[in-house]
Amino acid sequence: MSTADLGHVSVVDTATADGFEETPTENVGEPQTMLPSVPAFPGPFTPGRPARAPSMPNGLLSGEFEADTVLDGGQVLGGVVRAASVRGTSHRWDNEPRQDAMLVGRVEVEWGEAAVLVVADGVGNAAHSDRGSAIGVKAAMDSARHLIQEWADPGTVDVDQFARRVMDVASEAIASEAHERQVSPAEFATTLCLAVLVRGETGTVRAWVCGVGDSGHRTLRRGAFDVLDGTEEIQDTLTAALPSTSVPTVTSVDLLPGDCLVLATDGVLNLLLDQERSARFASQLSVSPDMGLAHYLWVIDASVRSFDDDRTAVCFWAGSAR
Amino acid sequence: MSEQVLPFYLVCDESGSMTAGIDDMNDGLGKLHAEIANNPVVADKTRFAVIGFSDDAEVLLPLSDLADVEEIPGLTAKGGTCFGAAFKRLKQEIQKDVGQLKADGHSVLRPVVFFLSDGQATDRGWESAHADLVSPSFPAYPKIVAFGLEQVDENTIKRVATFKAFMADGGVSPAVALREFASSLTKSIVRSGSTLAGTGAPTLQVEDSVPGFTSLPLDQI
Repeated sequence: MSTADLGHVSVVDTATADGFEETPTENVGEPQTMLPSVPAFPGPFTPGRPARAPSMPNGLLSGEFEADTVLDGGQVLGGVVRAASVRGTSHRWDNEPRQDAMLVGRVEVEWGEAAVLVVADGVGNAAHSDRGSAIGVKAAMDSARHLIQEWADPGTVDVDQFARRVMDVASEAIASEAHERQVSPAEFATTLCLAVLVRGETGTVRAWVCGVGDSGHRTLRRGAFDVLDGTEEIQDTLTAALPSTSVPTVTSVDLLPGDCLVLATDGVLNLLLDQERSARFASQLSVSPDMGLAHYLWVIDASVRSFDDDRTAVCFWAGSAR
Repeated sequence: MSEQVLPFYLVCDESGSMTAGIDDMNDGLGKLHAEIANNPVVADKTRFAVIGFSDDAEVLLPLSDLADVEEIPGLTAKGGTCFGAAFKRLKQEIQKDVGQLKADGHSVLRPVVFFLSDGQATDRGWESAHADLVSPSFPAYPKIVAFGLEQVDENTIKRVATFKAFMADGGVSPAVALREFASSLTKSIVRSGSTLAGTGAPTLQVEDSVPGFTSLPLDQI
């Protein structure tokens, strides 16, 4: 690294070995002392053409809204959890609240422990869907915790019944809020997807994923996402949502050490439909367990042209805990 | 790499009877261009095309990203009012554009058409061209929002529309009605481009009422 003293400004050569540019440092007054150079922020993650709008909040919101961004994470079941829910470029530009929501939590039980991951996506044209998603994830988490604590053995659980009960409770909570506010429940419409993780056989983690609507999951294995079928000729814009629909789909996934389960709203799932872009996300998300929360947020808050929806993704890397 | 695209088509009557208001319409298109080009969130997701029709139909602006367009070509009043030519040309354009967008790997939302006419169709058989355009057998069939001015028959506008229909109520001059139409089109593109549906994709938003126009109930078609 080389420097040149230009009067009161010390300029640091920006060519560095690690790819990060370094910031010029400015010293005012005497005596001049050289501040240590620090890496500059690398700018947004751009796995393709970047959005033209900067993904920054405009006016500060007034009223009772969820925060622009929520980050969480921890270790459970021998694996690592990273979770982020980020307001999309469109909502930031238009001073509208984040309509996605998420919660992650650990449940201690006699037979060990379980993890519960929940994501939800308030339907865009429903007036109070930001509240709907927030109420939905809270109610679903509470209900799942309660039901899991009643399980004598996770190997004998009726998962379909569990999923229906959780979705019913979330629906009832949303409908109750709508009733209290004297607003149609449809104005609180939200998708919801919940995963319960327990220890499986021979070092695996068993994940049950249940959901209503187009939030869902993908699996990252050996550095690549699972392959999906082709997309439709024309994309139409309907989705099932709570509280009008509460019949969930239920699937199970056995995670091997090193596998990553990604539970996400469509703001993330749609990004992963493109194979090239999916590979770039896979490359970033394959670095656990060394991925800090700030790095994880940087990946999820990527700048991608035309994909300006809220983004929520909860990742669980099996067998990655230190 | 794939993007999500919501294509808008303005299909506008350029027959001789439009002479009185054509300058206001062109002025409105200039404002629409400025509004969309300066809104990066909307410009990222929407594309816009203009087709003028009179004795024939002509593509005045191919489907474009308005942030990349310097100026929208103006409409010129001339000739008759051939609906059939407009619908045939529109279907060809949609087929070509959607095909190209899909070939480029994009995810395409159902196209939206804003149709405007001030007179009765001067051609026969336009209904079959319209039926071909909106038939579910055409995978990229568009949603049509239709506006009628002056002498056009209310039932004709209702037949053309598949999403919403509006008829000028005579309370304002044709020039004012055209300005309101252009303003409504601009708002629709901006709101559609920034309102996400449950799938995280843009969704069509059209005002329930447009000043100078009466909303026509489509369920009575």
